Amino acid sequence: MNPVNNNSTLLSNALDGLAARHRAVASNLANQSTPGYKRFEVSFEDQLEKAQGGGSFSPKVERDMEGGGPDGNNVVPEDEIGALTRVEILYRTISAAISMKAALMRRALSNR
Amino acid sequence: MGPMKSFRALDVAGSGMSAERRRLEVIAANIANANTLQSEDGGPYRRREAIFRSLFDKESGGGTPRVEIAAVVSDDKDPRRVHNPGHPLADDEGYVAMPNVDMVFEMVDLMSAMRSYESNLKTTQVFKTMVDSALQIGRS
Repeated sequence: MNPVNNNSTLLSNALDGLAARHRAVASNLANQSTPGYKRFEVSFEDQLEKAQGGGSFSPKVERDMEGGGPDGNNVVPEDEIGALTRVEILYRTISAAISMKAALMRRALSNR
Repeated sequence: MGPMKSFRALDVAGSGMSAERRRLEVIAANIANANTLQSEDGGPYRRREAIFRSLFDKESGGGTPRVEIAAVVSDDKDPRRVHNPGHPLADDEGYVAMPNVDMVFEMVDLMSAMRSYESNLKTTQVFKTMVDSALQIGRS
């Protein structure tokens, strides 16, 4: 297995996972006023390593049934904003990592 | 990942913003009618409330839901009775039936709806920075 491509798969899978998590947070925030709504959660970190070996990668979407206010809604908007900010920072960091890798490759190939 | 799914977060956040805006309009109507003694059904104005509902639509393909206003319902709480014998609408005991609008409650609800609207806006802003940083890959 080519170590260069191998690592690229890991990084691009991580971006896909973060995008899926962003969609879940978007739904949680949109439904923060919906009675009885239970929040969605996306986990993908544990799959990254497995998928690196050529396995399939699909972020797991799960429903969090714990807790909830008097109307049964368990979205805590502050927590969702926190998750949103983490997604944003990680996404930008990983994008930057991919760019740096690409720049490194170009440099190696240009033979200067 | 198809283009429909890529922009899904924007559809979801957009549904949240339009639902919260409808909720704000209902609250505004409640505040505006806090002293309306004769509404279309003859009695004092009854406060209204927007009921939210998750929308699991087909294009989400088992994804996470949007949101919509299922209905705007009247609050059947009793009218507030205020003693005002000189009023033309006063009953035999001198009480006037006032709308069941609680101004403090409406103001708190107004603030909550505004915050919720803004958090959906934040979702779209974060989406934009994510797309921006993805588009930066391979430049420079």
